[in-house]
Amino acid sequence: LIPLSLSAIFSPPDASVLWSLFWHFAVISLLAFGGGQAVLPWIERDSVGTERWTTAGTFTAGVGFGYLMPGPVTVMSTFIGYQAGRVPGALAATLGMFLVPVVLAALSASGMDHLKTNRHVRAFGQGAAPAVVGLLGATLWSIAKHTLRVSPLMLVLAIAIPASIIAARTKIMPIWILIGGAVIGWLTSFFHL
Amino acid sequence: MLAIAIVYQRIVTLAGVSQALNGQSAAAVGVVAFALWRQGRNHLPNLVTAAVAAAVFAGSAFWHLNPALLVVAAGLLGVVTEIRQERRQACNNVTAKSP
Repeated sequence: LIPLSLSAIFSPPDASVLWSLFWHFAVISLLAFGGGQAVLPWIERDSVGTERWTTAGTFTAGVGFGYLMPGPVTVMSTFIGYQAGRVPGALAATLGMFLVPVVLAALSASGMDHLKTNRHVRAFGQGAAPAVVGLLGATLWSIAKHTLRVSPLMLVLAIAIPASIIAARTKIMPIWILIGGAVIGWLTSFFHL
Repeated sequence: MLAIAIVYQRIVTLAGVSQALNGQSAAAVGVVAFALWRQGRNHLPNLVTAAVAAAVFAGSAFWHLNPALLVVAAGLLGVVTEIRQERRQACNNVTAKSP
């Protein structure tokens, strides 16, 4: 059984899938400013919509899992990559997501001070910031839409509102809030909600 | 994340797991809603920036426009605004210096 499950985990997909994963996430990484919130809708569009690497439900679960660790959005590449092409796919997507920023950071390290003080670069960042907020809103819209498709409104509100308040009022890490949500969701399976 | 992806693939069909994931998704909605509120408070100081955010939201959520293009367009809008302010300031300086 172990060799069978290992082969299922490591089975290499079509080379074109690996290349597509690498290429898509390399392009996406170029615009992953400020923690990458801006690119979440883009990842969703590519992975659920155009390329169909995963389903909306799995993507939403991935977003939740992403918040369990540092760099919640960029680590999504590993999750999506695995859904599309198992371990080789996860490696290709992760490499794509992190290679370009690492190379760019290494190349631009010397010119970073100049870039930071450049008025136009700063103006670009200030202009892009509201767009990132809008895109985060679009992400929220998307995961809320999916969550409401699979769970009753009252249950979603009963979990989401306290989760939001706890995140705002306390210093509890999001991982515990998400685990709490999962436990409540699991408990509802006994009450057929 | 790779370990989570592997485990997720294995357990997603088990009884009770999908309910737990639905609960986790609902909690994620709350956490992302708070992140949105915090980002909005920091980055939307006036009506213009709020309008840009609303336009980007509509463009991405309803018209499915490319998010990268939306971010670049908003960034360029910021650069254009900066250049216009620079020019206006330069004009004001010239007017103030002229006798």
